[in-house]
Amino acid sequence: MIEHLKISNFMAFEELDIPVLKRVNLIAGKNNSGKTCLLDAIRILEANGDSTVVNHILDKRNSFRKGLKEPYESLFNRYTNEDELYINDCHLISPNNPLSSVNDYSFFFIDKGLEHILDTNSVATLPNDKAIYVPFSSDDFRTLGFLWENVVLTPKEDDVYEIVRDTIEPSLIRFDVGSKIVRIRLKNTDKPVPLGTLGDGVNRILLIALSLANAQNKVLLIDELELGLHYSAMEKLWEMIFKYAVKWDIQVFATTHSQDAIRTFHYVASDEKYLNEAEYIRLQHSREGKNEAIIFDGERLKNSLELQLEIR
Amino acid sequence: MAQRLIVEGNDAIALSELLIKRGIKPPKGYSNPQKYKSEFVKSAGSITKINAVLIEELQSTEVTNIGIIVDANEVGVDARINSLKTTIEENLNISFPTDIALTKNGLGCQIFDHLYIGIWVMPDNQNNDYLEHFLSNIIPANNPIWQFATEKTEELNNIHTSNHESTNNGYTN
Repeated sequence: MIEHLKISNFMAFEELDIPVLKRVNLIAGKNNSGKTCLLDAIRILEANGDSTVVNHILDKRNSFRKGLKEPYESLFNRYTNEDELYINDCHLISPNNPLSSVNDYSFFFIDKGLEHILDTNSVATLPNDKAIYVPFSSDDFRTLGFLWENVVLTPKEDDVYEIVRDTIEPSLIRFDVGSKIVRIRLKNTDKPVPLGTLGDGVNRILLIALSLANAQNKVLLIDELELGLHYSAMEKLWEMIFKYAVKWDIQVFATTHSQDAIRTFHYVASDEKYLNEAEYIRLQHSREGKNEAIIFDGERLKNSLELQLEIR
Repeated sequence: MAQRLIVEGNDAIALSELLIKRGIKPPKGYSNPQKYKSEFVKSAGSITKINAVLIEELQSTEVTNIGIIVDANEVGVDARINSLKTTIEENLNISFPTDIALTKNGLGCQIFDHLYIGIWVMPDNQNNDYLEHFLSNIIPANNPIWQFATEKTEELNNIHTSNHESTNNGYTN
């Protein structure tokens, strides 16, 4: 489990320190406050700086071009010869640094002594993530198929059905993930129904359920959790996320813009069995313009919600 | 950019509407009555909750102007203002400017380029009373409604006192 995060000179963050993290972490903040950046930092940290993951992150941000003179410049907040980039014990060493002995960009882990040389040719549709990442755009059947393959015909298949049934679609019997389409069998229908006809919410819940089932002993990252979901489904989804995060030892980081997501997160996190398992974090720029993480424990979150204060 | 008016007690809306009727316009960006009621004005309930509200608004970098209205009560004007200053200092990591003190017109202080804080201690920044004393001071002495309200309040007080006594008698007999 990642117990704290200290990030320096990485993308949107000049410096960011989150001294305490919990099992389920909900992250909010204005646009451009660094929410997705935080998830990217954790992806890189968990992947030990693997090229396919780093290149995938930059590609999604349209800032990766093969053949660029400085292909990894956009990973840095300040791109100079002296400024180091690090995410906890994971350091990116630039060949341009006068103290550097390397000829290529390399991720180096102080504790593990592990070094990954970044390779601009390592572009993959399915990057070698160690964390399970749920992006806000979720229409990629290749990802869905990959997640499904690891779950089908295992006991976790039943858990995935339970999550989808309990959160959003009680009439689900089972589904089949094909190469290009997901088909669903519902109660009282003779023919399978394409997933696409059931609306974005079911699609989103299915992706999150499969991601949970793939994340045992890992980190699960969910960008904009609330997309396509009614608030009543959100509370049930949090119940499932907390339940399986504990059962399968998953650490969850989810971002949101939604007051409903925060409120329902608090309802579920207040359950005695999740005591000390949850944290709400708001990323922002301080009044002096520095990156900061405002941390809300259960008591502070409860007070703020009761007083109807704006804490996003 | 956001502005807040934090008021002790549960009557923030009544007080702020009274201020509007007296010619104080809603701040820029809050002319919509619903937005004014739900985002600008914050009823904080008890004095202990004032701190909880104030801390959140101080730490929200969206907020550029904070107005605070508290009662002096029996605790006194100095204790109230010092407690608020301490909360501001601790949460913004600053020393409150020493040359800015509470006067009979309240206290106003520019903390950073983009944060202004104003404080009013009811009723008049001097005496140990409440919002109610402030209200009674702005009502003309010969106002018939005021006279009516005073009489009715007195009547209700008497009823309450006699009920209380009879209940006590019931238990002791």
